[in-house]
Amino acid sequence: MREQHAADIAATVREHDVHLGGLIQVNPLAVVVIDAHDLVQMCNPAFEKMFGYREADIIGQPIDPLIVPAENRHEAEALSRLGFAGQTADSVTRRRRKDGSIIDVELTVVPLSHEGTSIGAYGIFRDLTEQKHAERHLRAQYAVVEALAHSATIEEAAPWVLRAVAESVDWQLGAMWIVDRTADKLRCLDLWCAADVSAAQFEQETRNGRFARGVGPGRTWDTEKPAWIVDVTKEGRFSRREAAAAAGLHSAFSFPMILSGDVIGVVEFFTSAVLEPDDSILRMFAALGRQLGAFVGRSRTQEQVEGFFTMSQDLLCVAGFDGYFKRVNGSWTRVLGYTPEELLAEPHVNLVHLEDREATIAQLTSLRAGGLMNSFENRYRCKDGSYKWLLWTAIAKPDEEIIYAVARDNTDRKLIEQQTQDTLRMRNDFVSFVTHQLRTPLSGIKWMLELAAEGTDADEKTSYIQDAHESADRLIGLVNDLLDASRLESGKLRVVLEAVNLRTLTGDVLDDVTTLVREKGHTVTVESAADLPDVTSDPQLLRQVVMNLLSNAIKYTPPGGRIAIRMGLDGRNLRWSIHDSGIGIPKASAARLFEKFFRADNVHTVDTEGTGLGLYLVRLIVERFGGTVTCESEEGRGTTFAFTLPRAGALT
Amino acid sequence: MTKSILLAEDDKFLRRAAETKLKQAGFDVRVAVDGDEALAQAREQPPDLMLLDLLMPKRDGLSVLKALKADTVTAAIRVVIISNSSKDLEMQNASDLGAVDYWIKSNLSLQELCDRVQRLLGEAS
Repeated sequence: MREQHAADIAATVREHDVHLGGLIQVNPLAVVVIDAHDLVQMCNPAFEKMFGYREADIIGQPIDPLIVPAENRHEAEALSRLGFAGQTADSVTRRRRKDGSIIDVELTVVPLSHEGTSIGAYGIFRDLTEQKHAERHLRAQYAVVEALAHSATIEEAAPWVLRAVAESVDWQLGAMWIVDRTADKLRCLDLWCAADVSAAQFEQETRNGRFARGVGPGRTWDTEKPAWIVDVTKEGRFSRREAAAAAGLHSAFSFPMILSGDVIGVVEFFTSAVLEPDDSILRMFAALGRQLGAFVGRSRTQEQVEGFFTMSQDLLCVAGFDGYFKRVNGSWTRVLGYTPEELLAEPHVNLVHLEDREATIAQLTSLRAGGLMNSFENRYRCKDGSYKWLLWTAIAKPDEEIIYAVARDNTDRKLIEQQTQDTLRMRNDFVSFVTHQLRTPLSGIKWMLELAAEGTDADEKTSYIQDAHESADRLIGLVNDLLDASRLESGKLRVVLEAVNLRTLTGDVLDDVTTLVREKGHTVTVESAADLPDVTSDPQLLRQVVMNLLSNAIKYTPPGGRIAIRMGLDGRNLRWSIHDSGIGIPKASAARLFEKFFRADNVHTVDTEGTGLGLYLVRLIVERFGGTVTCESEEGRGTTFAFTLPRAGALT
Repeated sequence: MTKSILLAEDDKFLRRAAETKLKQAGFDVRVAVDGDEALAQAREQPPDLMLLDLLMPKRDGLSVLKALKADTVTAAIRVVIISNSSKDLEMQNASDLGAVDYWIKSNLSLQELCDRVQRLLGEAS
């Protein structure tokens, strides 16, 4: 009865079709005819092609188990009922092909009636796979572009990209691998897994996995092409097979991330379904692979540039035409002491030294007009108030109203330049001074000898020659002092250390100046402890110290003055002092008294013949033997010079 | 008429030698041992020529020269710097301040010094 009925339906439809010029048979849309019991009565070639069934094999079979995925069963039944009830119904849904793959379709159910009685329904399918793929492709693309736009590195982008792609193709798990050039292995960068999949073991094996070229995801690295595995649980070469089975994952596809023709990583996706290779998916992701590769390339370039920006010892910055910094690197903080926020908060010209501001503004103006700033130097104020010399190179991009600038901290070099100039000037001063000092006694000798040669009176001649002698002595003294000072300064003076008794030494020096003392009518007293210990020193040099101090006292004390020398112990040291009732030393001069070539402001009232080396030598010598020299004075009242030296044995 | 010379020189040997020589040559020579004295003497009795040392006690030669040129009484005095310093800067300063010449003592014999003075004073008369 049912057979008969079925044959009738098919015959009826065919008869109609003939009238319609074979519309059903030649229709590019897939058409299936079912009876009121959901059994297939006929289908057209387009249906056979779309679902992979031959008509002869499915005639009389229930339609739903053939082509309806489990999750769509209720929807399919509801559609059929509408059709049987005489209504046309439309639905965008999914159906399954014979091979198990799912296709997106637009399904129209049209009632089939015969002589007013509903006898079944037409199912008309339009394949939406291509359209769906295009949509998915777009969605995935959009999601990936979004993910990349918000990420600086592939590491940041990975979870978003994996999720976007997996969701767009409705797969459950994705993993991204990156080529580790050093290890020459693929290393898992990130993994994304749908919430409803428990893939703990698989995730662990994936995250910890390291794959060589040609192994696991490394196969895609090797072939440089997308790959598809229908069921990884049955793939002998798939090492994470058991874990995949435990997670219920079956089909997999992977594609390489390609940068300039090189594979730099691999992305793989897994699904719980068992699916035949889908060319459209593979094609879509081959393109995505290149896109990801290009992103990695850009982010690496960016990273390199950032690396230089961060690492640079120079001060790098980007500034706007508005006069504010937009970005500064860490060297700014290191050199000037400001935080980046502080630097960005005020017009940068505010930090420029007032004296350099005008030149800086002129440079900026020409820079904005498209010029180049090169080898320009200015001073920047540091947070601590000091200034640093910066040497600038800068270029502007007028279109963007931006200046890129590099500044080098040139302070040290400036300082060295300054010091070199100072040293040169000092050397010039020294040469000038010494030249003058040498020429003066030389002129004296020369002129006195000239007078002596021309003179007629014998006494006169003798007197001229006497003056020439004195000038010569002064010259020799000057040369010797200069030599001593120079050797003491460079530490090259050879000293002979021995125990020296200062009391004896002072007595010897006094003997040498007896005449001078008598001429000026001074009174010299010497006080000393009877058991004065020796000092360890060079007797010749120490003699010079005593001589210089004593002759100063004699010279700068008006006739009839009092000079008192005292020697005694001062703790572990021996102290020698000389007090005079002389002209004293102005306060302003006291501080510089022991400097080379320095002469107190008031010495010229007495003479101009001193070299400014005497006290300098005293200091050099006393310090050479571990002692100190001091001076106390009151202008017009007198002066006390004192030096201390370690007692013998204290110096090792 | 005997020309007068004011010799400002702090070094006693050079002062004595130059004074002796110039007097022998017939000049009326007065001496000053420091800057203050030089200025005072020049003001008191302006000489025909002043031989002025630079490095002197109390007031250096350039300061004396400046003061002389700023004072109408002494501005016309012809001043020759006699120094043993040969710093370019000092030479330039002396010239700028109106010194007629700059002689380096050690490079001159007393005779040459005397000849130069004679030439200068001869031109003037």
